Amino acid sequence: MIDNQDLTRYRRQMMLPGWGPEGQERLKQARVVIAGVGGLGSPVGLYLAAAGIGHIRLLDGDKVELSNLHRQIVHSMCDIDRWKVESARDRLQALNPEIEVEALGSMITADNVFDLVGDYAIVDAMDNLQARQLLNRVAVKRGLPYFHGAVYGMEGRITTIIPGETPCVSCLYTDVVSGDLPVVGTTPAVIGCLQATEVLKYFLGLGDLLTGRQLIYDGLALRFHEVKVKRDPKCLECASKYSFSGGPV
Amino acid sequence: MSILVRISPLLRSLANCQELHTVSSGSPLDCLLDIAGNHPALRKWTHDKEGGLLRQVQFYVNGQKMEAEELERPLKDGDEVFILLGISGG
Ligand SMILES: [Zn+2]
Repeated sequence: MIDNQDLTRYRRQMMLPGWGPEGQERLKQARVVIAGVGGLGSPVGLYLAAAGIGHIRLLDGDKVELSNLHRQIVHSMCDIDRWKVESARDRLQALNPEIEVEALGSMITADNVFDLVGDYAIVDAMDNLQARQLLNRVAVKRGLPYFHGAVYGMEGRITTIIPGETPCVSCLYTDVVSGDLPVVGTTPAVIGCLQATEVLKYFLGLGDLLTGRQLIYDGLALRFHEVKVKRDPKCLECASKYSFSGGPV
Repeated sequence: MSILVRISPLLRSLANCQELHTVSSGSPLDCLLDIAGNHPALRKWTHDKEGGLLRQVQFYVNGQKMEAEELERPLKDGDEVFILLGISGG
């Protein structure tokens, strides 16, 4: 239940029409796994913790390095060589001790991904397509919402995946560019904030989700483009699981 | 006839080319080849050594994603093509 401290802490966001104490209670009950605690996971974690998502699970198998700090703002100099999930958990709990934050420092594999995710809503803040495809498999199999973001340089992508209604990650990507590519810290900040916005809207039932659409952020021209995305009838992950009219096959 | 082609921010950073290009005719694939003719660095990110299109390249026409079988279909006057690379950074 929402208590007096919650009423003070969350007052300004609860003022939004459609939010209120009922919406705040829904956020308190919400369970979200943030897969990747790097450039995207930093703002996602901070804003979801600040907004009062009650159960946050952090997944990442890496340690904090100096070269991360220009974009992974949840970590600080004093966290170098610590596990990212522990550094981020401490930061999120310092920001909001009223929520529960779990730190799981495992690399995501085909063997453990179902246990790591459970039935939590998935924020995809990963840095590689292979791990995204594993998370996507869990989302599709269990019908979990999946908030996808990806960045390089001054470009970002975001879309919200609702299995059965929207394309899945495997519908969207046949391959991705690889190599040691640039990332500007503000790019994952922009995309991560948008992913967090979608998570909050999803649990609150507010507005229109970014479903069936992908937003492309162009930081160079400072423009957003919206493109339509559609399910791939040959998709190996979702085509046999969900009919094209929406429901399970 | 005029087709507007937009190159994604990452791709234009990597290939050092501008955002917007005008192409007179052809298919989405022709548009890319046309622009790559003036910006050879583009090809490194879009084609393999044998000249095959890399699977990481994505085409949208008027905001709709093009599938592989649609890439050689002729475009119409006023069409807008958006060429991007699949990205996975986080
Ligand atoms: Zn799919």
